[in-house]
Amino acid sequence: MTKYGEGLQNADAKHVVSGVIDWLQQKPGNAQSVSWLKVCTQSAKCIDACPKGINAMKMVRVAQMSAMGSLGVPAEQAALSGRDAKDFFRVINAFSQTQMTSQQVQKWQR
Amino acid sequence: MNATEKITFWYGCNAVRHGDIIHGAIALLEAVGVEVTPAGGAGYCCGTSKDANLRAAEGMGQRTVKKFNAHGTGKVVSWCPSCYRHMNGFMGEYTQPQFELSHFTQLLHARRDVLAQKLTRRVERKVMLHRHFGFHEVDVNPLVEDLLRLVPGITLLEGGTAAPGHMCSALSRVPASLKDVTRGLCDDAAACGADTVATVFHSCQRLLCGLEASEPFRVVNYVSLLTESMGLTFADDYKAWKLAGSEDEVIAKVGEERIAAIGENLFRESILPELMRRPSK
Repeated sequence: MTKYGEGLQNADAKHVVSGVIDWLQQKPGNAQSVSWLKVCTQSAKCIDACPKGINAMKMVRVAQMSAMGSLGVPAEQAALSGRDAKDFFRVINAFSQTQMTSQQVQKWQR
Repeated sequence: MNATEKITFWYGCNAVRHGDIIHGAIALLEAVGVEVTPAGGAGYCCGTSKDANLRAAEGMGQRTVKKFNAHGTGKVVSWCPSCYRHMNGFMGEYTQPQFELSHFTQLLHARRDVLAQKLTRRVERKVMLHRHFGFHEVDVNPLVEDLLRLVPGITLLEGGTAAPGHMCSALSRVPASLKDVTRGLCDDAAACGADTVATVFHSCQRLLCGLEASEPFRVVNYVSLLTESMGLTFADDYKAWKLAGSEDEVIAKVGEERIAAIGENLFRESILPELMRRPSK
């Protein structure tokens, strides 16, 4: 997926990862780490690749959370803010109404 | 699992767009002798959509686990790979689940001998499975392929490149990758002569079903192929709305009554744009 990330094609891997670690430590990471966090789609290839059995995918996910501003980094420094889907639950509830009976919604979804 | 097993079937949030998949999945579980307590929608959110607000996510996770514990089935069978992943990776770390978690494909596959006896109707299709390789917790692709091979009439075609992510929604944040995957899917389907692309997960069905407007194949979730062979039909409303055409035609298809129930503003601001969006390739 790195081919889709801005500035990642010739990036120094250690530099990128150092930025991810910064995010994990609740500090703003470098720009290339943000590019990496943006294009990670949790394919889990990194888990298989790690010889130490570390779940790097989960670490990246937590770094994404940090870059969204949810772990202490101030919102103005968070790099992935605004990723929350607008009207997420209102849309879910709306579609439920079209696909279930009111009894099913009451029984299955409350 | 024994024949009278009780389970909670956790279908998740976004799958509610596809009542045909949910109702079909429940029918399949019942057909293999499972007593099902369905649970899903916003009231059973895992919280994975709230990575930007972990306090909210934690509250959702705690509420959902508490409800599952109260069901008392001791077994939760997940449909959604995101819910499955979030339960294993996060929710389970700050809650006290009193249940085992498994995936829908695992349960159905384990009971495929029972299921095979119910699949009596021929479904004449040349099917290519749309696969992702990112759901590392459960290797769903071979399980689904085995299930599809049970259906008389289906020719399961070799071919098709597995896509990144655990399902298409994971790619929607990287639009160029979703576009590449969609184009590759169309090329693969043409190359292997598929008349049907079978999706595994709801978000793939959501994001790819609009291809039917321009491509020479149908996009159908594998659950629908299995239930069709059982003689059961569950209408794919979402796809019908997507394929209706112009805004006016979509509105007519959804219907005034449903739109009024949803709320006119919400429908026009959030739902209609989604229904009008076509896959990019």
